[in-house]
Amino acid sequence: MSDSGLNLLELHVDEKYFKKLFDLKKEYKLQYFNARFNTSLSSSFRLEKSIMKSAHNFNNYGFSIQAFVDGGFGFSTCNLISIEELENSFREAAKLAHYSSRNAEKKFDIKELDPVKAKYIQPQKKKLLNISADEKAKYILEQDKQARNYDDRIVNTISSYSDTIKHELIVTSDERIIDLTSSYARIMVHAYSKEGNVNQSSRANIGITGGYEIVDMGGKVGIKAAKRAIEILNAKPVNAGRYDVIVDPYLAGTFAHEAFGHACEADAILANESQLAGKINQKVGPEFISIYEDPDIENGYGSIKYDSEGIKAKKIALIKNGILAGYMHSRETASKMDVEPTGNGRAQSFTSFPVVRMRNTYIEKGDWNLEEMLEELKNGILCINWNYGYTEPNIGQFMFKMERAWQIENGEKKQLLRDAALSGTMLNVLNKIRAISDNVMMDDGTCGKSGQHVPVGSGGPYLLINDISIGGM
Amino acid sequence: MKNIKNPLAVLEERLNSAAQFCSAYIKKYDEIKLWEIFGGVQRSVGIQIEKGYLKESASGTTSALTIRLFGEHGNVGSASIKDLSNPSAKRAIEKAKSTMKVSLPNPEFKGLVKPPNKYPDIQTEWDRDIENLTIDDTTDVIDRFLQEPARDKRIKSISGGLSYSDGRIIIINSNGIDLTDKTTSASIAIGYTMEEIINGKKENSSAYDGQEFIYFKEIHNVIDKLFDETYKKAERGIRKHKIETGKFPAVLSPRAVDVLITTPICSAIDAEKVYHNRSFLQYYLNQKIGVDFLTINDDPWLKGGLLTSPFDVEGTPTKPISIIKNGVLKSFLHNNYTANLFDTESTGHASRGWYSPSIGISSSNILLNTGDYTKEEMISEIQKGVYFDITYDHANLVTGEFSGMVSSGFLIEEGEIKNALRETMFGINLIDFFKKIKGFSKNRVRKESSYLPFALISDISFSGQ
Repeated sequence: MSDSGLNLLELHVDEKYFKKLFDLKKEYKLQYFNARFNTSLSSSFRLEKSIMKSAHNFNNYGFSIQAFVDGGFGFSTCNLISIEELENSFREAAKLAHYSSRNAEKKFDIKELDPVKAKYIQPQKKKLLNISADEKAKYILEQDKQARNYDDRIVNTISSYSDTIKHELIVTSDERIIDLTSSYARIMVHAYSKEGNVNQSSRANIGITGGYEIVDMGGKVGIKAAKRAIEILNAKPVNAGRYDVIVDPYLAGTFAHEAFGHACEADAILANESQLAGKINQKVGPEFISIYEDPDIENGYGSIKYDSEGIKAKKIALIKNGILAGYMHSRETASKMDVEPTGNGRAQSFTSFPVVRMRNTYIEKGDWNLEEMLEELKNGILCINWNYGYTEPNIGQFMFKMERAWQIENGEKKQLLRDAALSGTMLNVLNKIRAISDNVMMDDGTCGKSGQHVPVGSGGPYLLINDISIGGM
Repeated sequence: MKNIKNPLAVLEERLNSAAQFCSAYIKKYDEIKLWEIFGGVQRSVGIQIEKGYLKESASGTTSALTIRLFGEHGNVGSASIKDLSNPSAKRAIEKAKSTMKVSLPNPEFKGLVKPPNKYPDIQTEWDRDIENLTIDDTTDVIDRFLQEPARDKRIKSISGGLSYSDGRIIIINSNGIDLTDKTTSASIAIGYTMEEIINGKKENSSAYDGQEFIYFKEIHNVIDKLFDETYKKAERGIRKHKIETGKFPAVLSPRAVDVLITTPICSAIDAEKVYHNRSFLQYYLNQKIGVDFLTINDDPWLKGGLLTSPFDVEGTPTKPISIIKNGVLKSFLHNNYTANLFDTESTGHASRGWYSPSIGISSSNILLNTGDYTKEEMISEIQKGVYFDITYDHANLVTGEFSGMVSSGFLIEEGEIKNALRETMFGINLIDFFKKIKGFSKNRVRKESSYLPFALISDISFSGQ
């Protein structure tokens, strides 16, 4: 991208717009509003078997108004930024807020905060705007070729590169004016292997906040994916049943995010849809367990400086030494529960309203090493990486599909296993953790909630867990 | 009083104008050999219910235009914009063109869709009422949500919502395709969370369901049944039971039939997956993959179908096809790109996201054949087994293996549905599984664009205690 890229990231929203917003607030008798003006530039490349299927550029542009009165929210979006459209959308959002308030649960107010004016630009070691489309295309082609050439048994590859620079101006009715420029990049390679009648696949990925330095951080993504896809050809289906297991840091992160994190989101607590409602300061796990939510991990895929409501994001403890320490909050949930917002009010884009979302969620490290844990496990399963997972916070039930696993006999890896799924109920499993390793690794992912997808990080150490249900073939 | 023009009509004018501008501007460049413009505008309204109360109402208009350009060797470059102004459209074309130049040759690309002699004589159905619907017109549906917690004091939370939308799309390409279409949709989602103290211990359950239609009035037709059935599932789910590990017969609900039978099949016959070794059905064309009475048809002409349309998103005419006939796989699904790869005709199953540059493949209205059973007869045949209502997992389409969690399921004992299952996993090999279907119910239930019966399965591997 060149100068035109820089121009497209300008918003041209000035004092005139701010004045109009505050005038409209008075006119429509609102208690709170959050206006978000946005422009973003994205580029993406997708290859299959080294054939470029898509080479795309996207300029997203527009604004949204979230209006609030007497316990009811209204929300309106528009793809044009002008004073006239601002008036139209504000009117619509205000009308909807008044409509919502008629049937709202209770009349509460969004707690007013101190005015603040801040500007933050996500640092990029290698600026995305300085990297040509040609360079990005060549990079991802190279990853794809490396995956394809790794072994004759690799029969297909799908590789993608994507990046986004987003400029957002958040203006709230309590005069919090936050000017944010954030940037993300992600690389993913899927490799498909075949031997005889056995087909398998695996993926490797990296996602960061930052710039084109991702290509230096990612290493040989294509080779990693291909190596795993070949390894898993020798895997056997796991026999369903109950096992003692060790889960690797990526699965530990999935547990922290899916099973525990979602249950700590204050909107689920307020909606009576979490098992953790009413359990603050209660013991929920062994005392050697702590889980944190940290928005400030360098290059973390879920790292943010401010959330979509203009709140500075801060690190919070969800569990500290086995005690439930806190929930994640948006301005709405913090106001209802009379606590400080935590900077977890995130929206996928300006076209979505902010809801309580995680950033980077991880389990704190312990003091075992993996060898000691395998010895302690003796017989069981070492579960590696995840394909996908989900949870039902209200009953605490979760399921994670793991990428592969090792059958462990007498503390040693014996047979590689595939198509295994791990399930349980969150508090039950939390209390079955017996040992935690002394290293934490983070992973990148995309979290879906309320129809919105946001980048998140999750991670942890190796966890030794007793007697857990494994589903298989 | 100021005359305010329908915002969707304003956007539609902008969309048409931007598309015309683009098609004229692109022609300036000789190096652009083929091009396609796909655009859409939409007005949507959504109302969110939380804890039995109205939490948020949202509305918005959105627009998008995607331009795909192809060079001499099939090299592609594309760009999308949202604001539909001519300067933006011009920038998008320049950006797409410069990306096209650095893109790689694609020997698989053989061209874009050409205008057919004739499109089928069917109309996409849309709801004129939705065009003029205001949020005040939804009050009776919202009231139904607000009244629901009074039904049972064990209800901890009612969540869900209502949404409707009204949109227009436009498809133009360099071969002369020039099409527009209208779409409307109305959907409702309901979630219950219930709690009861049983033997001094809190037991929770939850149940979710939803439906999507073309016509808003159809929500009124199903709302009571949807609330009643979802409530019953949540109520029955409070008392849970662990099933021992083993193989048990099962009755599948229509939505379980969707997840375990029709969705894996329709996804695995995507010709792009087949071509690139990503489908477990790769070698099964004209082979038997299921029991004799397994027949699945895809009907894009179905009256009232959610995905009924005379053409797909590339402009290819649609036509009904047989996917499985008497257990034999009869067809893969093609878009224009895969049809060229297979040297055949597109089946008219091109699909794409809202402004996505990638053309995918997906089925239209799916009809699975009915059988002789009633649901009650299926259940009464089972001494010990499972009523499998839903899993949120999905099959591994590469291997054809499917393991996951029974998200909602119930124990069947002595021919009757009993308690809900707790922490129950399942594992199936789909090709084996399709041969274990013992029968289908006489009646079919509509789930979005699929019309599905209940199914009786001879055995599935479950793991619990």
